[in-house]
Amino acid sequence: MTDQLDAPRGPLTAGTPSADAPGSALDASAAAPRRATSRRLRSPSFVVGASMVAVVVLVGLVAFFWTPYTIGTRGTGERLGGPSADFWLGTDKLGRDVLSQLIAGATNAVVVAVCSVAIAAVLGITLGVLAASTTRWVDVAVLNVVDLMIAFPTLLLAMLIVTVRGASLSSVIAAIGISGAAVIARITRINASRVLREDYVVAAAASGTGWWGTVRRHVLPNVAPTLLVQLMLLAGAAILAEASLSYLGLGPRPPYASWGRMLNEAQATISAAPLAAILPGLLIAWTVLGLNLLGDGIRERSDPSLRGDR
Amino acid sequence: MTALEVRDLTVRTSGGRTLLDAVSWEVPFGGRLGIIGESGSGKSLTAAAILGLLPEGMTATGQVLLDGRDLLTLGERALRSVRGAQVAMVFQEPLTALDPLMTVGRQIAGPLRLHRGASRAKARELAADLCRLVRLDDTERILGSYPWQLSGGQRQRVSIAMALACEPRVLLADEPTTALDVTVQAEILDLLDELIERTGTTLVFVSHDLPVVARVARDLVVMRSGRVVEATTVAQALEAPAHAYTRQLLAAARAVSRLPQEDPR
Amino acid sequence: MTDETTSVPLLALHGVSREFGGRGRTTTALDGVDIAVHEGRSVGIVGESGAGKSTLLWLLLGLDTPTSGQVSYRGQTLDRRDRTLLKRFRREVQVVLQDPRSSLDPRMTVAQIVAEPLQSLRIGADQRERSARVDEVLGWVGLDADARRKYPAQFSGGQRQRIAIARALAPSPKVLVGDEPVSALDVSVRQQIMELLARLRSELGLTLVLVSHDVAIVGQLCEETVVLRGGRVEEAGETRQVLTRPTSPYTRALLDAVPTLA
Repeated sequence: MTDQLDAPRGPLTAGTPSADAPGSALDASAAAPRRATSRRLRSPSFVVGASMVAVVVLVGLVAFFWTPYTIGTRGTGERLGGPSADFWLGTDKLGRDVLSQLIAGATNAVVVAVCSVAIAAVLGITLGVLAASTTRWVDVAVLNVVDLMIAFPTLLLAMLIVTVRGASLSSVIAAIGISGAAVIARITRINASRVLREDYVVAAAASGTGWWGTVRRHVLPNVAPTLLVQLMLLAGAAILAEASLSYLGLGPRPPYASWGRMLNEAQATISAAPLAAILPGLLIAWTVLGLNLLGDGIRERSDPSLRGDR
Repeated sequence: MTALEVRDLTVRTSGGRTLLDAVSWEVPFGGRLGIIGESGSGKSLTAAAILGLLPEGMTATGQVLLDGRDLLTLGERALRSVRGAQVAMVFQEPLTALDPLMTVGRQIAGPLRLHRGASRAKARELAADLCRLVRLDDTERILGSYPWQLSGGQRQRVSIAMALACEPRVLLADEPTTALDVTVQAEILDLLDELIERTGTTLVFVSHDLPVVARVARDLVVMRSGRVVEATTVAQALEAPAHAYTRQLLAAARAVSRLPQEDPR
Repeated sequence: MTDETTSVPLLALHGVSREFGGRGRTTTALDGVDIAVHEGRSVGIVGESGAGKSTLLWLLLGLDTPTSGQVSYRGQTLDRRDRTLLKRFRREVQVVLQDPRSSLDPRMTVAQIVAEPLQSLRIGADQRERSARVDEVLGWVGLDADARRKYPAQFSGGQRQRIAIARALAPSPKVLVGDEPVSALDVSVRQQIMELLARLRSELGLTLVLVSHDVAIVGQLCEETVVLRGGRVEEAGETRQVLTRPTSPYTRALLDAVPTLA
């Protein structure tokens, strides 16, 4: 048996030719082409998840432009008031409108999810692809960096960043984005390695396709479905992470709203104003659940082997 | 006397697709039946259906009569006593059919302890005998090895040893030599030939390779798209096949396996 | 090898060895292999598993560098760092691989797949020319024009192999290297593809280099045969000679082991 580690990892220095083993037994992909799957099984997870997420996104979009009351450091209503005509969901301990904060929190959630996932995607995919397709040294280096990042808790990283830049939305997004990048890098690396071992990559190399051509034409499109699912799940994790960090006081300050911060502020007065404490928590759960279901749904729809009929 | 009879065996998926359509054939005691078909013909599915090893979601109707008993009506527990003891199977890829985490010795001993209640020591002894039977003479080393430490040919011999461990009535072989080199294939076929002759086990040999089937089998069933197209003998099929598809298959097999002839000088 | 001192071989291996591993554990996959492929004389390389066929294949395709010895193309040593030479080499030497399921990118259309060599090697002045060429080669392999819009999953194994052959033919190569091109196919399809290869060989003047464990396909399509064993050339010469009156007992045993139909 050839020594896998030191054998040429070509054609793009990735993967050795399996010495005379029978042809690849990999199924014709979890990446089934868009067109051939016209008779997709209805995935309830997808539909439910997509709806749940859509609600949050819509609310967040609306709140970006308008909220019933401005989000500020002091409120105009009575403190800890229950639901009334002026304040549909009541007021918190500083007299601020709960409803406005909730829907503004949706905007915050969307911004956090989109930005941190974007950072994680760009950074993670780049690292993963480089690790899988260039030299072994790069691979080892990336693996070590990634292992370090994964071992380093997001919380600690956030605290570090906050110490330097102060508690803010961008600090939190940076911390979550970097942590997420590590996970994405690992997944990308594994999937890209798999693709690079496929015969069509060998054929491409023999046809003169270079590194970038192979990455652009073959690797990225074939890892995209799996990555998309992971990014959805990462978005859910990001929202949870932001809520935790904001709860601990490391997140955005007013006038930015945050469900996590609301939880912290409403904690002491939970018996007096239960809505201010429970609702943010419920919304966090709703959003994360929706994203997880959406992720599962996308996976179900793109993987033919998960469907019932063979 | 019929050792195994398949009658109107039909297999459908949960989505309603028919994969096997009224497949019927029989093989007498001590007989050697070859089932030949291309991909999608249903030949491997037939073997799986006989042992109740169909994938999730597929249902089988019809009858599979082993010595008069219909195997399709048996529950899982009863089937487990049939598998290995009365009907044994040898698969194409021994790497996946053998447990990678168990030594070969324990795996061969497995059916012996399960079906014959042999003690560990006795089973070990019998396993060594079986190794010698399949011409793996370095028994100590073989029994102590893990599957990945053996060559493809050795693994297949181990699979055959395991299959014959409990002296089954019927041996089902599903493409047992397809993944092997041609010289190793020749050895395994010789081995099978000799063992079947010696033990009188009934053989059902499934393959896509006509020359290989012709080497081992006496009777022949030709399958296509889930149906039996022709049931005849190997001799008859080679000389004067009745069905057009068989003729086609034969012509193609002859064409692709033709070796250059010596120049008459 | 037959004496061909007059013409420069299109593709050749000169005393090629390839070792893998390090830190004390080296495996020698190929040892001192000499092979010459002359234009118009197809070569078949026969070997069992472990013989070094895959390693040899990668060297022939310029996807790997030998530990010692050289791979030459039209007399020039093939240096993988020489981009210009490599590009000319790739235009002339193309490959068809074994597994029809994984040799085509499942997410690309047939047209994109077949056009890839044209794009990578910058052949064809514009999109229209490349597109026309795609249609042309699809026709040669017996697929009709509406195949171009479909995806590999919509085709059978034999058809996918045809697509792979079309892709290889797109840059008008001189040499077509086949790695077990028909082993994964059903027997009737196998016959069709073998006939296709034979036709392409004569109509397009292609030189085939077939790497296979299947002696019969080599016997039918190649004028010369090389028997590879344990990384070394066991025997080589005219196909008819090697396959009917082999000098090596190993070759003899190999031939005797092949099951034949009466």
